Amino acid sequence: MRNPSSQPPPLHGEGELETVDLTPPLRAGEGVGGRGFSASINPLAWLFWFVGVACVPVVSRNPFYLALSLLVVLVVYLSLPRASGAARAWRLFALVGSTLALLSVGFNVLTVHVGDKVFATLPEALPIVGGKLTWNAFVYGALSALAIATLLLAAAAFNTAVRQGDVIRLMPDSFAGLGIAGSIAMTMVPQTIAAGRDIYDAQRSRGHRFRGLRDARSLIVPLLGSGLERAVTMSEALEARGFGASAAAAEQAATRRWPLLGAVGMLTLSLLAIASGRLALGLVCMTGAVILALTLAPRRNRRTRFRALDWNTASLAVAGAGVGVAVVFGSLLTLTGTTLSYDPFPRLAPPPFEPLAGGAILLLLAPIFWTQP
Amino acid sequence: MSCSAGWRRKRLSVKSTVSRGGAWRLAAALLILCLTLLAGILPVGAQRPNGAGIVIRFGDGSVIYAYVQFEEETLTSEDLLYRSGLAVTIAPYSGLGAGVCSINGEGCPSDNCFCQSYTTPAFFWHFYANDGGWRELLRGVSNRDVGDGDIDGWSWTAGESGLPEVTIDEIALMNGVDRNPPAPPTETPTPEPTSTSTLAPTNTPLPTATQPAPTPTTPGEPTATVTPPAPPTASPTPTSGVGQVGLTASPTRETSPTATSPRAATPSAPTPTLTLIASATTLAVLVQPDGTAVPLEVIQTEEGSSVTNLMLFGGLVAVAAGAGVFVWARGRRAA
Repeated sequence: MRNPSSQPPPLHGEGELETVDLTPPLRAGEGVGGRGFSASINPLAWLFWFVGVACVPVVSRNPFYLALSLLVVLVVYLSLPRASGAARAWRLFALVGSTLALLSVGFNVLTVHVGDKVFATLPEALPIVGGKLTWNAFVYGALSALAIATLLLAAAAFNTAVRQGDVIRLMPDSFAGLGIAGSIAMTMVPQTIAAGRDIYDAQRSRGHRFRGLRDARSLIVPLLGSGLERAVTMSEALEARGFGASAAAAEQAATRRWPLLGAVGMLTLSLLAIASGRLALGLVCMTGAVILALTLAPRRNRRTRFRALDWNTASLAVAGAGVGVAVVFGSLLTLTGTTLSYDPFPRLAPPPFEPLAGGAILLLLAPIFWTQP
Repeated sequence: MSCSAGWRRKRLSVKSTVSRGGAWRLAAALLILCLTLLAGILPVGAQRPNGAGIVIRFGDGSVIYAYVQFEEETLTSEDLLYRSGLAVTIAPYSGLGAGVCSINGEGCPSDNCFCQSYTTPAFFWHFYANDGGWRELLRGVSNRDVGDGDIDGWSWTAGESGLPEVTIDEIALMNGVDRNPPAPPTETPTPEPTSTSTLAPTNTPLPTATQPAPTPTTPGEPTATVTPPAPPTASPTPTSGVGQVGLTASPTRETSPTATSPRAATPSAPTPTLTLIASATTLAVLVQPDGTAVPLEVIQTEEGSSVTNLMLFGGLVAVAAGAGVFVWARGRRAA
């Protein structure tokens, strides 16, 4: 049996790449080269696909589009192999998140007493929940739950299909450190779930039975211990690879300090502009700040690639689907404004449906033709 | 023995007292029943439905006067806005109640209800109640109850309300409802196709036009009845519809009064000519900054999706479900 707490995070380098791989080692059946089942679709194409999926719940609260996107993401998720530990952890994460999202429906119904379709009334004497209960609040809560479930399932599918190391390699050199930190933060919950599952299996194989809260001690204590041990191992690995320190970078940073300060100033200006309602000016300033930061930030680590991204037909199709959805939804949002929006307040009315947007969502089914469960 | 006779006498006495009291009670109950039946038989026209007004001042100075009739004792200001038929966007806020984000397109979306209040000057929809003068309310629209004769005020402003002083009777009159009919009509006024009235350009806050008589309408349906403009002596019958705005007039009727709006009631203001073409779907009266009054039509609510679009949606769902079946079958083959 594998001891989850004794696994140091495997490191691998490509050229001068100084990147920490945060995922468990490959298991049997996951293929070679770190991509395995989705070897024909490169990570950047998956990233575009994820952006396309995320566009729908972020931009729209229309139940037609949300339901369609959830169905599409579910089909893509089912087309991926879900036997690995990371995939199982993300599945549990998505399930827990979706359950919490469903609970928010009831919370919304009980606390929001606005709308024209009333189905019950609680006594006003009851604090917070007292008042009329409306279908409007129910629909709003259900739509929010649908959007959250779609995003979580899309994240589960993306992380099942792509390894974290591959995602970090997509980051620009200047933000490699940020990418590693973000990756560590993102994988904390799934890794903890996976470790908890392994400890649970190990204890049961020793004959331990979990019958109540008192028995949870034999699960929680090793889980905390393994988490601390993993954190120490991670920090040692990062230190050994010179994470966060470079002699050459100090010289670079001194020469590029003022442009970076300019970028920070532009970012502040953009936030002020957005807060004051000048969205266009804010977006322009933010774009300028990002470009400045990307081009002028000191590059602590120069990275090269041993394997370039393979833009084959599958990758092009999947990336094109994601970009297509983003373009269609962005265009509809800009040109029409109201086609995508749906608000059940103050009146509960049937939502509109634009076939172009619905057809674009179906493009996101593209990965299923190149994945093998 | 004597004890038994005494008990029997006492019992008879009690019985007679009960029967006499029961007869009185029965008579009283019958009287109440008769009065109730009589009250039910009495013509409905003698009763006037409750009515409340809404005065809405927009950023460009135009003002909407809406009059909403209802049969409940009270209703919330939120319901009053809903029933006015105006396009209202409302966002819920715990504690203070719901906030009004936009009215008839002016304002903010519901997900950023006070979007123009973060700068100076800070604009948002201020909420007022008229109890002899406009008084700002620091609570949500869902936390105020309005009854017969109350007026709610809304102003898109960053400072003073700018709301005109107006009474509920004047608002009702502007919408063609007379809240104080002098007496039941004894004869049917002769219908006339047009009615022209002239409003004197005085400082009076409201047009003093001779309003056409409102039409009795049935609850729940916009009236299409030709309303005879009543002579000054004729008393109108108020609208008895629930949630109907009181301006009920013929689609073809045309009144051409010269109106002076509350905002334009200054001596230097030119005398605007008001051509009011009221229709059966008229919602409220909008008085523009130049004094021109136009009736607002009922806002056509969005019908949602057409049947074709719904069928297309069903087709797209079927395609996605088919893809799911394809994936499932492939997985079974691989297993």
